[in-house]
Amino acid sequence: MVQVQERPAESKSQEVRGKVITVKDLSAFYGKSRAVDEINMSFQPGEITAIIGPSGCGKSTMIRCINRMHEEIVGASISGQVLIGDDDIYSPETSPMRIRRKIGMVFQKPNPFPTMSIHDNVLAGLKLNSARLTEPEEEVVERCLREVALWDEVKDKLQTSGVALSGGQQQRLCIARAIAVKPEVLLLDEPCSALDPIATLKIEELPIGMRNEFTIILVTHNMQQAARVSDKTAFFLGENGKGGRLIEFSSTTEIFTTPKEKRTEDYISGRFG
Amino acid sequence: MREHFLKEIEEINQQLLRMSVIVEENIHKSVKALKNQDPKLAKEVIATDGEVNAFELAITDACVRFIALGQPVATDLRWIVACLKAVSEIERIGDYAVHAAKRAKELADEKYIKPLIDIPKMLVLGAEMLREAVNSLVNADPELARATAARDEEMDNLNKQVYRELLALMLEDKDNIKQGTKLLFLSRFLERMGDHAVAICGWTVYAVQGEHSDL
Repeated sequence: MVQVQERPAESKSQEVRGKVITVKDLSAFYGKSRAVDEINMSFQPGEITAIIGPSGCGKSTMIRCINRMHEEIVGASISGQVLIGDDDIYSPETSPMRIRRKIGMVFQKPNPFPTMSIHDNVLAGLKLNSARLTEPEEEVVERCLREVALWDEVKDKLQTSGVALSGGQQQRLCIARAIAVKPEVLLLDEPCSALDPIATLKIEELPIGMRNEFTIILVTHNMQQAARVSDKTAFFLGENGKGGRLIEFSSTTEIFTTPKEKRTEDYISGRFG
Repeated sequence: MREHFLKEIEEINQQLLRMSVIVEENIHKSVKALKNQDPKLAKEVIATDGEVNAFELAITDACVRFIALGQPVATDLRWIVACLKAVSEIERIGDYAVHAAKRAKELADEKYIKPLIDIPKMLVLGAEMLREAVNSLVNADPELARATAARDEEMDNLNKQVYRELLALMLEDKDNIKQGTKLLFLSRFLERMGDHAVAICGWTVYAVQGEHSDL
């Protein structure tokens, strides 16, 4: 039998940073209501993992557990473990602030700091963390803006406000801000849902170029986006009012050509959801 | 969205069935034209080939439109790829029916060097394999596909039988060589009909089960 070829892994020949994220028996709750139910999976460095599933299946809750943002909501709690490398991020000795320094997150709507310039937005994470810079500020700004393909568009107006940029540019600025602190993990929570198709394409290019630098997790409603961007895809589904469960987790090629689970097939081909 | 999707799939299935019915009819007409040495019927088959080719283009266009607008994935994606591949196979089988008709036209005024028994059998078998292969695809029936593919052995055996008989006749009398060679080529073409039907069956298995298998 002929095997279907997987997407070529460009990253394998290069050095890969980032750490393995291991999720063990993770359940997340809002009060008594279970949003995520007994998830076991791992995210590999050098790979982009997409999480797809219908609204309310726990995709965003799941990644908010990875940087301990879930617990910021009143009444929210989790059970189970999340390890970044060997670090148990929920161990009592671990400070949420220290964890969040290792994890960059980009949200649905671009949220540059409105009172800061483009320049200061890029450096905001570093300054808030009181991090000691190992390279001059100007170089950090240029490097990060180049990485998100924004440098040429803003290099002459670095001192103008970040909110003066277009939506797509603002989102790239937010990604630049997130990567300036050299995180180990980059969480992208529907980063293109508020953007037009051209801005979306520009954003989609970024994680592909960055997959060697960070372990990247992308939550998306857009299945074509998951197919275009990711190496692996996880399908979440919440059934019968229970929390979202991991239904299938496999290479993106397999999920979109020969999914094993009928529920995955039904969702990705639009039979429900 | 899904309803619209299903209508498009049904329409492509119907077009595949209509195309294969025309090819099947052409095969049966070629059998008659050969057996009855009827050049008029042979010409009718040759004239219909354009219609078969037009179907191939129309179905290809419908598949491309479906991919562009429907962005199918998983089974839907495999099925549309299978249709694109199958439509070329059906068209090739149509070409072989035309080959048979052309031979019927050429040989209409000659006395056959032997009674035509196995060549018409090959044509009928080819028509049956085509019908079953296309049915297996539109009904997503891998069992029918496997059973149909297994019939190719029968086709191969008929081809070998025709080859042996014609070889003997040509060795016996060199005057038989001219017609014998034409019939040998025809037999070879008809054997390929079976191979193309098997290829359609392979695409059915791929569409339904997501694997390429040697049938």
